Amino acid sequence: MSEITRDGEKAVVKPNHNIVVPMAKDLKGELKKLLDEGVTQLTINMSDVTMIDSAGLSVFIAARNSLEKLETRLELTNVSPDIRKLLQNMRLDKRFIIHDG
Amino acid sequence: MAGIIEDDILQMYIQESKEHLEDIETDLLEIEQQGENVEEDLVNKVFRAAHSIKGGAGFLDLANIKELAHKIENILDLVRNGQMIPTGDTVNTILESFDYLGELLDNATESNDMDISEHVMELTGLTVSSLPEDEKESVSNQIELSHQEVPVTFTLSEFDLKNSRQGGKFLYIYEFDLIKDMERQGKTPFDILKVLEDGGSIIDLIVSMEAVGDLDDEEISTRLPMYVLHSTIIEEDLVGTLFGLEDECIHLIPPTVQDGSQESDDSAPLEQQGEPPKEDIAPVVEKIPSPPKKAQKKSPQKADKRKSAKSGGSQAATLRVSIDVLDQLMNRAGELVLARNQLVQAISTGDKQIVTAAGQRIDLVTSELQETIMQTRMQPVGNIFNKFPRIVRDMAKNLGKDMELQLEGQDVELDKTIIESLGDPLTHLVRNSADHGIETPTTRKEKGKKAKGRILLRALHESGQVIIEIHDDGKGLDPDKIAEKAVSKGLISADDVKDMSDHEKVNLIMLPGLSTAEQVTDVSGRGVGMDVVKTNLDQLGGQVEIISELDKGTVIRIKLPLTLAIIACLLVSSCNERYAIPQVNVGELIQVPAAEVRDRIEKVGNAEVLILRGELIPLVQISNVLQLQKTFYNPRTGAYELDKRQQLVDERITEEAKQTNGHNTSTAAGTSVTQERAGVGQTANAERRQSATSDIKIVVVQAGMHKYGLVVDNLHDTVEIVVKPLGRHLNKFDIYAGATIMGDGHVALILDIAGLARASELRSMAETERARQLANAKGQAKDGTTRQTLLMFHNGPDEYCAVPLHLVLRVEQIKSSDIEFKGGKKVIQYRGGSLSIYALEEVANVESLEDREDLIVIVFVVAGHEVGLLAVPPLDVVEIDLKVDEETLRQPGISGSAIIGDETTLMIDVFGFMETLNPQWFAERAEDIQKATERCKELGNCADSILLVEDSLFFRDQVCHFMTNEGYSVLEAEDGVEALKVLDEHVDAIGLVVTDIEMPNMDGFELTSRIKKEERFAHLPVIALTSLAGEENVTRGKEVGIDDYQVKLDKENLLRGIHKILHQKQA
Repeated sequence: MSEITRDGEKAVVKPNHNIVVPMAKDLKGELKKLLDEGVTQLTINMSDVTMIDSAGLSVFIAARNSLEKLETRLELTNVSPDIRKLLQNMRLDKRFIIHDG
Repeated sequence: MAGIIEDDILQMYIQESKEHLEDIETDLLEIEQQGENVEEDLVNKVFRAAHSIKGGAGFLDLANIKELAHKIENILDLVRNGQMIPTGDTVNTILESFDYLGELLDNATESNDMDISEHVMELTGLTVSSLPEDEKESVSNQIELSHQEVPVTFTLSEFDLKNSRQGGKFLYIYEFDLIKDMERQGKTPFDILKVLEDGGSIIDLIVSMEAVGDLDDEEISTRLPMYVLHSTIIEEDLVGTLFGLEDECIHLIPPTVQDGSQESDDSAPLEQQGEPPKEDIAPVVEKIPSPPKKAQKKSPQKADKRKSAKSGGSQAATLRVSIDVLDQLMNRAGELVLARNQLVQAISTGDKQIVTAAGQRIDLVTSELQETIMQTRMQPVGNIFNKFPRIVRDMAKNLGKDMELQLEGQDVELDKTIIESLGDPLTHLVRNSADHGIETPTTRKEKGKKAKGRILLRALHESGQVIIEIHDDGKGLDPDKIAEKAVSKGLISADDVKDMSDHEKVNLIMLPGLSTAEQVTDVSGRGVGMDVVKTNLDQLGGQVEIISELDKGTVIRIKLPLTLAIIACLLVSSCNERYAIPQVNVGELIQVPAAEVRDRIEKVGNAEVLILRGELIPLVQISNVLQLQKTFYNPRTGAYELDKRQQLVDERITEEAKQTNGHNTSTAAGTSVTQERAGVGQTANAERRQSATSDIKIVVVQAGMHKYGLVVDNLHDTVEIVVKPLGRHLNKFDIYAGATIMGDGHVALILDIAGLARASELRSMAETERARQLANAKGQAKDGTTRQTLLMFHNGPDEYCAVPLHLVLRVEQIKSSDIEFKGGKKVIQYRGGSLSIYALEEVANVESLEDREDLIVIVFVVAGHEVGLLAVPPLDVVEIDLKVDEETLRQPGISGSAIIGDETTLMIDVFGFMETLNPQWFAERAEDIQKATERCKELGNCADSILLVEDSLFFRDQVCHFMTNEGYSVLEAEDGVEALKVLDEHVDAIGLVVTDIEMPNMDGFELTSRIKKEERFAHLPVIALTSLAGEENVTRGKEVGIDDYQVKLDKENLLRGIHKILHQKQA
């Protein structure tokens, strides 16, 4: 489960686990719920995330695609160097706003 | 936020792209030159470069770079297919676009915000203009390309689409999964793109975010597809295996698609959808219009400069090193660790033997390690050479000149730091050559040269150094103008100029302050800040030399060390201080044995010179230049003592050297003091001379135009030293190049050979030598004087005597106690026998030698007998223009006197001397001559006169004198022309011709060959006289028919030769 802090249209989601296949679906649900509730600015705090797999990536992209319709961008904070590297290699780093951790 | 972590992929892409761009200029210029008959391979090469840049840019979202590269690619494709001829203008546009591409790459992260419209428009215009009318539209027509199984749509111009299908190529859309195909397999998307590029060409690629869906989708997609539009000749069944793709990820686009969606109505709205990046950029450009505008207005040269500056910066960050070298490095490092372990262990157990072994091993490994590290730093000079064709080409265009630049030796390698610092000075020099060296085509034609100027830039290895030369066949430098300017600027004195060769004058251009921009045209036509160039190169340890011939061209030669950090040096010591001389400056090492010092080292003016294989090499004593206390090793005391010598030659001729130095005082007191000191010195010297430690050690060094001998106390090893820069306070001494720390922890200063030469105010000896030769020639021509090598000695303290050196067989040193009186004669033991010795006083009225203790015996051969003449040291050998006064001091045994070095010197007539003492030795031949004369008188056919041809009055008189004394009648002639006249008149009386070789009007060779050709004279034997019988002369003489050679003033042999020839003839 993720720790969610809401502040009006802003929301910070902090998953307490790695974003891999079993958890990815849950995260996706949480994010969808937030957006449905009217959140337009979404930030994911990655401080507890050390690993991410293809399913995780696809959740991020899906979130990005949804946010794009709202004309905002997904923010990732406290991104570990490993994950940042992965995003870079995928050329995904330009699609999100990334803050290093 | 971004950039804290280096974007490896972007960096790699930029680096690779820059590498692609490196060779492009050269290739494009080549393409321009080939024009219509351009080689397809060459265009392909440039095409591929543009293409690779485009491919990567697409993936990295560098839309502008991609767009520009793509447009360039289009043009190159047209050129390749022969649809466009690469004219100068076309190539210009391409070059400029590539320049801008380079700039975009330098600022990759901001490149999407930079304005490329100008270049794109130009390129598009170029493309359109070269297409046939009906195809022109195809460039602007956009076509949408899709496949039913692919969720994305590619948009491209009709023109591109058509190109991609050319030559039976297939068009595919591949679906790569960024996660499955790449991340999981440890590949980067880049690796995949490379493979694709090798097998065809990537037209476009899209990483599809949309394909993943959004949060509303139920399913979680685990795929992140990247769609690549690829054109290749590879067939469908092979594509999968080649690119590692499943069949369902490969989608062939059937050719019909092209026809299906050709309507421009459809494509217009689609274009906007298909190219979102463009939409992104447009507003941004409007917001910040200023930087791109600047970029647009730059002249090509400026762009070029900026580019080189920038690329220099970015290249410094990384360096490509071959894996092999890295492996070697790793190996060596491993070995070093092993050796260290061994050493540590050995030290702890205290086993000396193992310590030694470990030490040796570390020595070996370290040098290997160093070598390998050096290798990693080596870069081909081609890296900087390649930018010059472009510079020269642009300059040719701007200046309206016709010239080409040739490159040679681009693969010669130099240390990276040197390569980097070499760029600017070289650019300067090449620009100078192009701008000021090469003339305009019309001027060139007037001078009878080819209209096309040629600049050659080449690199080569020479004795451990790298030489870079810039040749141009332009107008050259005017040495006099440069010298004039240097004098007028007060940089040198007019006197200095007098002694300078043209070569030295030309090199004055590098004097600081000689040439600045305004003075360029009126002084030399070039030389913009040549001193700056020189300073730059000096810092690299390079040497510059300019060789120039007016109207023929100029060669600028730069000598560079391979590397700067570690150099081989010769260690020497002087006054107990050790110094290092860079090995590249060391020509040879010479040890002059103490006993030969006087033969090998001479004084010219105030300078001492070494005679080395006929060349005069000025000598510099480190101790003098550095003003050190001179010491020498005294073998008697076994300690170093202060050395009071002023000159090297002082060692043996203290007294005379002092006199010639002008230290001589005419007062009696002064003389006696000098004498005393000389006496003491001699005893010590005699002993010191025996010891090898008093040999003179000379390092012959060379730096630029200076070549000189450095006199040192001791020579040590050649070692590799690490150069440490000198501290700030020592920086300004240009006699030192740096310092190093030696194995024993001591510091040794590294001598700067060129600086040392400047400090000791040396000038190259070329000029001195030429002056000498001139003087020589003049001396020969002047009446009564001639160049002669004399052995000088003393009889009494004030009696200077001289004999021609070639008469001297040997010189022996004896004590007066060595002389024995046997049978009324003086003899000494000599080479196992005894030698009769005579004193000059026995014949001539000179001082007695009775009370002298140290004596010299000069050994001669007279009439087949070896005899010794007693003399008093010091001895000296001088080569002078001899003018002999035969009247004033003439007496038996003395043929006359001459002024040598301000002293009246007696010319000893060895033969006359011996004849007086031993007339019987000469009687035999006199009888022969007598008989012969009588016999021919009887026969009435008396052709026994000798024709003596000699231009020098002194020699003519001397030789004539010998001959008439012998009973011959002699006819004289001054030169060959006169001799022929005399011959013509007196041919019946003449039996022999004795001629000098070197004479004005007609020389001895010419005379002889005339004699031998003329029937009337052909029977006459010819004896040639020379000052020195050189091999070469002898051979040449024999060819023209000279019967015998005799040395001038060797009366004995000459007379014998005459006797032999006349007798043989008559007998």
